[in-house]
Amino acid sequence: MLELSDIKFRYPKGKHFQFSYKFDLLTPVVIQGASGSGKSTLLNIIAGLISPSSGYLRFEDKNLLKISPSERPLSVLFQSGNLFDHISCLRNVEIGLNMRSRINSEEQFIIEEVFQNLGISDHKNVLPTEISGGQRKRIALARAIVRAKCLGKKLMLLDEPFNGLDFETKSECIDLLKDGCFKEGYKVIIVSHDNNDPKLLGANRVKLENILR
Amino acid sequence: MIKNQSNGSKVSISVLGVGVTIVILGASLSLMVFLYRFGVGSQTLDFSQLLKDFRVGAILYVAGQQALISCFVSFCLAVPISSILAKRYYWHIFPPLFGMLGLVLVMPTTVAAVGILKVWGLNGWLAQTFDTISFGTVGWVNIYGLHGVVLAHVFFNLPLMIRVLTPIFLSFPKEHIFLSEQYGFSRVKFFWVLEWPAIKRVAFSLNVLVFLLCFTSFSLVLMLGGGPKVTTLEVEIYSAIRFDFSIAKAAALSLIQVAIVACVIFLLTFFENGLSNNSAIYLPLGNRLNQENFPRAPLRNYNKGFVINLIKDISWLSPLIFIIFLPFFAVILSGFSESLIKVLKWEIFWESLKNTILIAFLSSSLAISLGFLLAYSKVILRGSNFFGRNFFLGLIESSILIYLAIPAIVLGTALFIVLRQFADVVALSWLILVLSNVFLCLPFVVRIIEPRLFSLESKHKALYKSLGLVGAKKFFAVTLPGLNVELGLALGIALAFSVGDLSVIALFGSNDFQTIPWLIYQTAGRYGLSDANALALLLLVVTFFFFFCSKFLVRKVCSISVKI
Repeated sequence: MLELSDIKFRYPKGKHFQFSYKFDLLTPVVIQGASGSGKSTLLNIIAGLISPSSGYLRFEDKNLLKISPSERPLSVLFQSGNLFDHISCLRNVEIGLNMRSRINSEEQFIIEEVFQNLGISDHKNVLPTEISGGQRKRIALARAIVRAKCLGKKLMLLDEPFNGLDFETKSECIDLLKDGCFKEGYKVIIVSHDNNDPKLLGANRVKLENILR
Repeated sequence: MIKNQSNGSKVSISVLGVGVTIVILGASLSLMVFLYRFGVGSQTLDFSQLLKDFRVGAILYVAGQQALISCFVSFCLAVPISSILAKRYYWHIFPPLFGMLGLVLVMPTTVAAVGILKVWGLNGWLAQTFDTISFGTVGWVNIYGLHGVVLAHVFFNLPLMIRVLTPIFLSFPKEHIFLSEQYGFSRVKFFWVLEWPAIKRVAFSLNVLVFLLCFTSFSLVLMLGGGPKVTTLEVEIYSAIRFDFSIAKAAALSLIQVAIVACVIFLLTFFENGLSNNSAIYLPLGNRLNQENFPRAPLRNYNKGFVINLIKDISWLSPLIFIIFLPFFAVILSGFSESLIKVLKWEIFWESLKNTILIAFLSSSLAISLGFLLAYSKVILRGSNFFGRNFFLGLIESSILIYLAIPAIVLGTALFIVLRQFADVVALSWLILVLSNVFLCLPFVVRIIEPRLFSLESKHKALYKSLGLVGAKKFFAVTLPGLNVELGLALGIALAFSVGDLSVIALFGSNDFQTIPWLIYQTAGRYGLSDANALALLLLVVTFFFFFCSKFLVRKVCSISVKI
């Protein structure tokens, strides 16, 4: 259960938001709303990347607002900029695991497995700039999954994960999400503006206007 | 028809640009030949002996040493300060602070030296404070010498580096900052993963540029070097002409200077595609910060070390206070004294001011015209695909950067040697001053104008054709108004640099012909520090007045130009 209670946030000289909602997260959730309505803001608040001025954010009896972003039990996939362009794809995944970036054998195994499942084993040692947008998306997804598996992050926040993908790649990614995340029991919140996504993902649709106060 | 007309004017401009380039390079080459004849070929001086002379070796060692230390200190301070400024960009103090760092860059060197002496000198603010704290038991370090020169160089180089590095740090995608927060990166890890890869491309060029500026430094070393112990080749060239009356020695030293700087530039070109491709390092004055996409500092509410981090960050910023802001304000505060009224009554002050302003206007007008022509020629050549394109682009680039290879003192010396055979050099000293100022300003003017000009030309290519906009009509209706911000900035910089220059005037300055920077140097040398402080304040006011007013002037001209 993820509970947002009277969470208030205001951009400097910009919009003001107030969120209140309870997600049961028994099935994946797709949040939908118009552009600029606050979907990404909501995800960033849950991830701890921007700080609300007040409110309460509870996940499994913990107040997330008191926990730093790196210690929160969640993994995030952004709309863009998920990968450091000057670092190889493999290092991009490894670097999110621990401070020293020393990977143990168990983590190594998980990385291999995820890369194989996502069909990106060939791109391990290339730079993100050398592969296509769809492949970059998969690497980013691999990073989010590896981080969730290795560090025990139970919640996954995916911000427009299929944005800019062609139909075929999108279908592949959806299958990968279903196999790699949903079946593994991860709680997933997805932000999407595509009305077909809840159906395709077999997820609950939540309109942002129901979360906004 | 339109196409032909358009192409015709473009060809004329690029031919003119290349022609001017050939004249500049040809003249520079001829001057070097003259220097060679008077230096190496001189019968009064054995060049090989001069090279073996211990003094030349010592000069090079000392000049290199102070340049290396200045460079190292500036970079080591600039990286963490820029990083903190980028991280704390939302502080209300950030915009004025960043703007002030830009102003420091156009501050005349003589004015900066006066400010540094007021704060760091034996009778300066810090010495007095230290004396009070230590009850007079411990003495203060003499600012004249290596300390003073390094401090003065850091005063100028630190803002330059900060204004180059901060925008790079601010340009990280916000998702990368978010990722680093999510991964829990330490400061060190953040530096190695994000900051270093972003700055390493520019770091080498930036450091070489700063090294060259320090290695060829003149006025600061002259005012704060404290004698022959800390010197540069430029100061020695000045001494050779002014005190030893040895033209041959000056010519020989100038050649050594040119050879060394040319080698450094060649090495840089070889390793890094040269300074020319790294336009960021020429634009520390005009950088616009991309703050809109930068996230607010996210850890403000729950970071346990918030207060400690804040204190750490503020303490990292403290060098800015001691090295830059205190001397800056010292110029203003110490300038307001009885001497201010006294100086304003000097006839020589008004005479020098008139000379300074006239030379500045002439230099900046020429620099802008020449800079525009060369930038436009480059843009036209870049858009073309004829066979010798790259060769001509390289030629133009070399003429723009000629100042780096032939600094003002060397140029002045060479012109002095050539012109004295045909005319009264002292009477022509204003011309030499104007020419050296033009070459000093040229790289900055071109670097500011060129990117915008390129964008204006390439972006609206089809529109120009469809509207039939060519030649003067296009220039006044679109090009000039489109460049109003860049031209204003370029003119401001050119005026500020020309007003504050103390290099060639040191060779030709006399009782009959003075400028304000020269007057400050002379007044400070005669133990008239209070008068020098007042003059420094007045020069600062004049410099900033021109720097700011040029923007409005250009905007006005451009608004009229649209209506033509």
